[in-house]
Amino acid sequence: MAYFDYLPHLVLFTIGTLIGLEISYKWHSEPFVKKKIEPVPLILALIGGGLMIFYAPLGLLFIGFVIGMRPGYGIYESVIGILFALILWVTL
Amino acid sequence: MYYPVNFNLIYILLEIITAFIFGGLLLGLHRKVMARIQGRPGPPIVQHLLHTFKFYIKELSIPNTSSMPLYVAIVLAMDAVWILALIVGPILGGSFLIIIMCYAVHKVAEHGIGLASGSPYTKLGSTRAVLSATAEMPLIAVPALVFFKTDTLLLDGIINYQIVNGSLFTQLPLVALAMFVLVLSKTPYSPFGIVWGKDIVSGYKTEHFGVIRGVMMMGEILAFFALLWCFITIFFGGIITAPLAYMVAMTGITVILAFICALTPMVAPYHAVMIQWIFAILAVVNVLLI
Repeated sequence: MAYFDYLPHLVLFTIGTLIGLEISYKWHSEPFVKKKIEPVPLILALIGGGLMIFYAPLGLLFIGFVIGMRPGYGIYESVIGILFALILWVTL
Repeated sequence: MYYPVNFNLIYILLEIITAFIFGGLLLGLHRKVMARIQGRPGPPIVQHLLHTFKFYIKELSIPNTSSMPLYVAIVLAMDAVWILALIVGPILGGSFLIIIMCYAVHKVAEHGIGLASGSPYTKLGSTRAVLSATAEMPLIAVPALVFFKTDTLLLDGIINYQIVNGSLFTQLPLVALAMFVLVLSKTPYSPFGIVWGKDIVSGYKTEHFGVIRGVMMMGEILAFFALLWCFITIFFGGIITAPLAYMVAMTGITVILAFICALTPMVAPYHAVMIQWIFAILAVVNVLLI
């Protein structure tokens, strides 16, 4: 097994973070204020967490979207998504 | 040896691209963790890669004071050296000594980059590169001590030794610490990163912009990946074998490095030399004690 087996994972994760960064700056153009959990990133993180079990590169695209959001945003959503993936991995 | 099997260009290219993307993400994670420790939100994880790509579309300006052929060629040499290290290390499992040689040539490249632009700041950076070369005692101590223990310097041989006799980390912990200090000294914002200290603007990198800076950053990313890979292979080679396990271990070590970089101020150049010598001597003591 070679390192480039994980190239799709890395590329899709990177693309996800780039899209997340771009879109979240459109969502939040105001100065940084701490906010509660947002529904859309949370849903994306959960979808990503779920997909991690079935097709990891696609899951990483969604998780990457939330992780890559504007600094300060998407932290709790990312953690929830990753925990969801871990729970699924343990239970399934 | 399986050189003929693995030595095809597409395989090598894909491995290098993977190392580049993963190394870039690791350096982004490094900055993120450092920022969190310092109470800042920090840049996105992908920031280091974005920075690298950004420089590829920036205008290339070469200072009038520079020696143009050297200004360009030495940066390309830095990339070539670390691509060689990747081919010899993760791809072929060849000689550890060649990777150590790549590390030494990286020092020469730092010196050359500093001298090439003609700026006083970069010259100070290049002077520090020479000074810090005297600090690289672990660079000699680690391969010598690993050779005395395993009777080989081939990375495949070192892995096989560890599969039979257990991890070298448990047998030579102080040698592992000396190698860890080497890796730390090549990490951005390192306490030993005197060559790019902010007291001399950006050290040897001060006058490099545009594509040439992007190429330089690519070399640094590959260097970070190659050094982490070497550290894991030499001291945990028997335990960590699968690429995914390597990636997880590299991420863990990056977080540890980020903690050290965030909490430790940059030491003075002479102290950097002294501290790294102390770690090299501790490594020798470790070998003498067993």
